[in-house]
Amino acid sequence: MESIETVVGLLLTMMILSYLIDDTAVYRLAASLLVGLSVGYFMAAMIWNVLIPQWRELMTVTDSLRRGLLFVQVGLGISIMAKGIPRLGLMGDLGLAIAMGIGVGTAGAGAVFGTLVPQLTAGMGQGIGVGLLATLLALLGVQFYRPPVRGLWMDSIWAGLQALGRAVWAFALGTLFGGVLITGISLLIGQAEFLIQTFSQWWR
Amino acid sequence: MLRRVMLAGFLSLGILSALLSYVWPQMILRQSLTELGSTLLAYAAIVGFLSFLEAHFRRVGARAEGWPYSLVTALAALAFLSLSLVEGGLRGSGIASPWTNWVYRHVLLSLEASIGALLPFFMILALWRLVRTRHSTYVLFFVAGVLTMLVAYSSGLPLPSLLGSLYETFLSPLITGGVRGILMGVAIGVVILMVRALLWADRPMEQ
Repeated sequence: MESIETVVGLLLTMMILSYLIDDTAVYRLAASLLVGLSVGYFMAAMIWNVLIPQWRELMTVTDSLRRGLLFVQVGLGISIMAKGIPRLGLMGDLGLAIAMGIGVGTAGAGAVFGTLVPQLTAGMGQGIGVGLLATLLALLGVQFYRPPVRGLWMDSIWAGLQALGRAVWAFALGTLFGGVLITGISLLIGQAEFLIQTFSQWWR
Repeated sequence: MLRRVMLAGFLSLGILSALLSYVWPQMILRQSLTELGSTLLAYAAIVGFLSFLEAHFRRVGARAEGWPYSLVTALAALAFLSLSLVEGGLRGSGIASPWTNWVYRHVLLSLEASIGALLPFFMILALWRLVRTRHSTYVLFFVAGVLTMLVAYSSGLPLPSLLGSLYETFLSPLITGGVRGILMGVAIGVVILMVRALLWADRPMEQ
């Protein structure tokens, strides 16, 4: 007698892999289940890991500064929920504006301190070579800068450099795509192994 | 007008307070901002979850095409959340309760792994469509990049030896440099977006 876990896993795997035959109703059912459960899991994680600990702390906290901070957080959070009520839309928009501001600010600061500075440092550490050339060409390819001096020669050279930059982009994106493909193939092998093992056990 | 000014002010306040924690690195400030960010995300998730349910149940009510799938999606989300709340509340173990964990490990992870196993088929199909529909030199570079990775990382096969020292001396620095350039380009784009939002040149709240 197989464990219920194996049967459930096998059934769901077969339902999803039925897509290889056609876009079947069974596949869509499993995909809908995946979306629903993922959303439910995300929501449960938010409630259990963020909201409930915060509400509990709000009930017990004695430090007035901490209590003030918690009240601000909960107040802004409730203002976001007010977005669902048309009359209180502005309140919700203000909460969202703060949230969006913090998100944009954190992303911008993260881009500078988490990407630009470390990547510049790492790039300079490698010296002059193919890597540096590829980085410069890729940066030219994104067209943030255009030389002020114009002319037939300058335009041709500039267009050529940008074309090379786009070629570096295409090649680098291709390698990233290849990396994800390799990960997908590993997952496929894992699922195939699971199916083969389960069926061979049942066969015996 | 007043609404616009208030929105711009709140947005800029959010951006400046996020930047302040980097310019003036104080633990309490950074911790408060992280908490505030996650709290606002959690409340926004509740609004999003309710909208998600409303959209799916509206489709079910209108008997729109594919409504049974909407019903399954909405019920699965509700069932998982209810199970987690009831079981977690009774046992006091939150999301790590046994039944919730069982559904997560044996249903959700199974489905995710199976969808992941379909990924190579989707990706190869997309690559094939790209090659067929776009006749550009850049597509050739893209395919060359894909093949390079497949050859270089086909462990257990003699394929990597085909590239020889070319991979170490030329291709690997080219890939690293190219990806670095892409990352820096994206980072510059994010910074420009932030400055434009700060100066209210872009108005994300009005779109």
